Amino acid sequence: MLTVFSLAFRNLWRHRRRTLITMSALVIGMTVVIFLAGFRNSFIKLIVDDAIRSEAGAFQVHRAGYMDSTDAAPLDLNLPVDAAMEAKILAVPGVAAVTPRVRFAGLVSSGSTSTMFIGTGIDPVREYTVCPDFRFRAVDANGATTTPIGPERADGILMGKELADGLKVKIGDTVTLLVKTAAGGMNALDATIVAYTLATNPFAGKRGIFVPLPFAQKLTGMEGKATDYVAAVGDPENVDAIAGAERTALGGTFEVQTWDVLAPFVKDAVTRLSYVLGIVGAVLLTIVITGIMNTVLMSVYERVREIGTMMALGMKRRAILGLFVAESLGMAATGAAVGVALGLGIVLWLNHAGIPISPPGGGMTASLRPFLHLQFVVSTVLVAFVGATVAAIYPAFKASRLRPVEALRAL
Amino acid sequence: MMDLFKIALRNVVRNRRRTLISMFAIFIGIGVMVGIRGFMNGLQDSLVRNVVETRLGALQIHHAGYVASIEGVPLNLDMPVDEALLAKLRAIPGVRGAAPRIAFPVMVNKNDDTVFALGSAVDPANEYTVCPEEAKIITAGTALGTEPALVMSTQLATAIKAKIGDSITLLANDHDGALNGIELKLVGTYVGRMPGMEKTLIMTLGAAQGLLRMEGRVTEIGIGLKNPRAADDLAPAVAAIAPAPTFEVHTWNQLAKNITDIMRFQNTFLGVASFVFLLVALTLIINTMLMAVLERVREIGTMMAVGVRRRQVLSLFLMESGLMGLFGGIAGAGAGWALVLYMGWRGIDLAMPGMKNVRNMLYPSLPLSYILLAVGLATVGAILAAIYPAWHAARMRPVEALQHV
Amino acid sequence: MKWTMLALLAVAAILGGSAAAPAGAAGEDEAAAILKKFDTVMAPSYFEAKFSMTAHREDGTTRTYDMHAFKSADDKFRAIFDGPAAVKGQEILRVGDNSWVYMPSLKKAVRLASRDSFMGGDFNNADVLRVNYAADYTGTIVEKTPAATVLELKAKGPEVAYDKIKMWVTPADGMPQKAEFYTSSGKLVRAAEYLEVKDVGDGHLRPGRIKMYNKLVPARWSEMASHEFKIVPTIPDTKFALSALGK
Repeated sequence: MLTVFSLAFRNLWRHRRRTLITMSALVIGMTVVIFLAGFRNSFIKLIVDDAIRSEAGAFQVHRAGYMDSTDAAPLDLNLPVDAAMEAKILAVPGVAAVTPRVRFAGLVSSGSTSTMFIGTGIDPVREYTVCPDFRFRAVDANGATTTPIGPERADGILMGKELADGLKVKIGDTVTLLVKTAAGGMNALDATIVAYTLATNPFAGKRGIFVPLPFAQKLTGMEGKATDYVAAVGDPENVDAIAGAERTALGGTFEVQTWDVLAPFVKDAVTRLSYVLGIVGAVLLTIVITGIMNTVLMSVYERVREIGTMMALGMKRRAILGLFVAESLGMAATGAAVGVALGLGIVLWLNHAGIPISPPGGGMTASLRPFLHLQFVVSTVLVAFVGATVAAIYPAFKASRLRPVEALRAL
Repeated sequence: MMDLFKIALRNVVRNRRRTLISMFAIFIGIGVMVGIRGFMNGLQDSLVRNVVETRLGALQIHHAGYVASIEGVPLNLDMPVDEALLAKLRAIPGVRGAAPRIAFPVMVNKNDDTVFALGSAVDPANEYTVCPEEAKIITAGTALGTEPALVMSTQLATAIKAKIGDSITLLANDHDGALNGIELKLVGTYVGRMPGMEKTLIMTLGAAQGLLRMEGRVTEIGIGLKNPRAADDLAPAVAAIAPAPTFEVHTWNQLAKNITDIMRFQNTFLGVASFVFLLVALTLIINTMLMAVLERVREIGTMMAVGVRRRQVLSLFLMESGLMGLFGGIAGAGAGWALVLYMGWRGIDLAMPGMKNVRNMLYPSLPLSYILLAVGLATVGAILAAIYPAWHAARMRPVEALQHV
Repeated sequence: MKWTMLALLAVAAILGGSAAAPAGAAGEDEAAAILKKFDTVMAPSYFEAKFSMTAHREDGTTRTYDMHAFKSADDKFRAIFDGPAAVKGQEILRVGDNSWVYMPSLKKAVRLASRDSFMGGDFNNADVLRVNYAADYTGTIVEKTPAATVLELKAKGPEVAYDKIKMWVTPADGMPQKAEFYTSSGKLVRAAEYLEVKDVGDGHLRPGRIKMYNKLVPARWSEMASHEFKIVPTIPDTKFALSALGK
């Protein structure tokens, strides 16, 4: 056994060029597969994170029946804003932070005209711990990021530029928001536009207005109440499990929706891209393994005389098979190792440096930071390794089946 | 030169095993590249189809100011439309249909359930020419036909507990603001392809014009093109028939700007993936060629010993490689194309659990030009890939070569 | 829908009077008496009337609707449109919190969503008219001049549309002159003027024309004129049944 291995090793070493050529396919293939995985992971994370961090949150809690209500923004299905409620939500492990919101509908008037709007009251401080990128959705007339809703301005609001244009107002102007309160009466408050909103959802209507939460609560008579709780989690990949735990913890009077239900378009895009990349990766690996089979096969044919000689000298067929398999194993191991190392290196470097990319629909240029999951790397290595070895079996088999006489005669 | 070519050809044909092995890498590489491209085309097409051919149309004509209006669907910004106008629009080369439409807010009622919805009135014959997918999103019942009728989203039907065949009451403010009502039969329900269609209904235009007291008038004309991607090119011709300042013409990518952004994004992403992939395939080909050279060391030595020039050895290898690239390319592109045609016929269902009310089919497709490109790429790529190995072969010293085992 | 508002509106547009209220005692009793008188004047228990409602929109156009209506004491109201032609024969029925609209073309009554919708439009202003001041508000007299007594009305609960109303009435006969409507935040959102006081029969005095202003979009305002106003002792409930619509 040992002889076979040492023979294999020596063969590999002696015919370095041949070895390197064969290995190179595996190395390159591995590197690329790993890079693509890293790229894809970062890409998906970018899209998902963007959706989560800029509006949807990882998951949201509502009063049961809220999402299915035929009303655009029911106020009666509300949640208490107090430490007890928040503690309940935070009690589930994995939840990083929560913030309350009030969603409501009404009429916005600018003096010259008025129209319907859908408002969202956000906590001027806590919103940004849960949805940090929300901050970047406040832009000025040129699209540059500007000051978002904050505690310093009790009546500062955000609205889409189209809505502002339709109302013939701009940043700095005052509008009046008129709503029907939770109790059934009417209320109105003046507000000042501090910035325009950058829409993240391609299908979001033009009618959204963001206001500070206390303002919304005062306007709608919902002091101490909220319509949504938006939560951030430590690891968005676990969000489904965490949401499930929340449902159990909170019970049937509440409902929990994860970001993909709240922003289904995002999930759709992500799934499609994963689909494609998955296929690409799988095919790549197949090609690589085929390539290895190719080259090993060729090497067998190249070494026909050598094999004939070995057999003539008494080496058993099994040993020949073993020899070739061992050679392949050796190349596979080294090739895989080098490939993985190279791939990891590239991913690590890109993770540090970041690939600039600008997301669809405008917005700031973000950085793609490729990263990998350990189990993916391990399984890829395993697949490549096993695959390469298996790929070599057929040629090795052919090699062991040569007839010494013919082999020696071959040219 | 010709002789060399003949020898190259003969070598390739004679050494079937070697040729096949080398071709295999090319075959797979090109095949997959073609397949990915087909898929990508299908992806872009499905996006275009879902947006353009289900709802918008490639171009839209409105009364000036309609699109910017904050009221969403103002009836007072309407236009007179007659068959003559529609005929003129259809006469533009590249246009395959013109569909008059009205969009209006409406109250939908059955028994005691009344819900607000967004109504769309269309002329079925024209509409389904411009937006053929609009007929295909019907999941129960039938699409609209010649009879006055309506179809609605399944969510809406559930909200008012309506079934196919029920008589539905629609209330809407007419052009002047006065309330009017109509009863129509529900003939079908649909599932939207894009978000935003949950609270919508589609009804026949004639009935709507009566309801809204807008006889002979519409709020929108949708234009269908044989090639939706040509929208920008054809916009001026359409604008000539419906000119400013009375009218405004928009292309679908102006109206659904976010979609184009997403498409571009997806394109870039898949482009990177394809490129990387191709790189690997090419490397593999180099790999294989190198091995081939190594295998034929003695043969090369013999050739040189009998007087074949180095340059000729080089050319020979390049030609062989080119031929293998060509054959492999044809085979690979052919196989890829066959797969794409099959999947294109069958369709890939991409229904997502999160978007349970949206259906998505993907139909991969490929233009012939791309196939030819792929084959060309394979040939050229194989030749390029063989440069180093061929050069290596040409550099050999006959004596050492002959000695090689 | 606009028409819901119309219904709400019509409820109030009232004429009709009752005997002059007794001159009130000081302060709140006086205020309470004024409120009671206002309710009796503007919204007697049972009445039949003919109105015209004209909406002025911000683009300068106007729309006028003619109707005749009935009201019953337990919050039942029905209006039948007489013109323009497009709406002739349509009816609105409101019983408590439920509203229906009757479409003569369909010979059918359609129930409206009970939640009011802010679908912008002509009759938002009209909600100033659906008021039951004595029940919903506590009044205080804040000023007295020969020309007018000024009251401030504070809503008794949060479900009332307007948190605060400032009202001017004529001291002699308690006829309202104008009113301003504020939300709980203190924002003035509506105003009304009561004009053309006349005798509608039996010595009952009532403003014949009411103008309502949208203070948030000043270019939008409406006015309601009554042509006939009859206070009746009672109206049978059958008149407000769904089956009565269209007949």
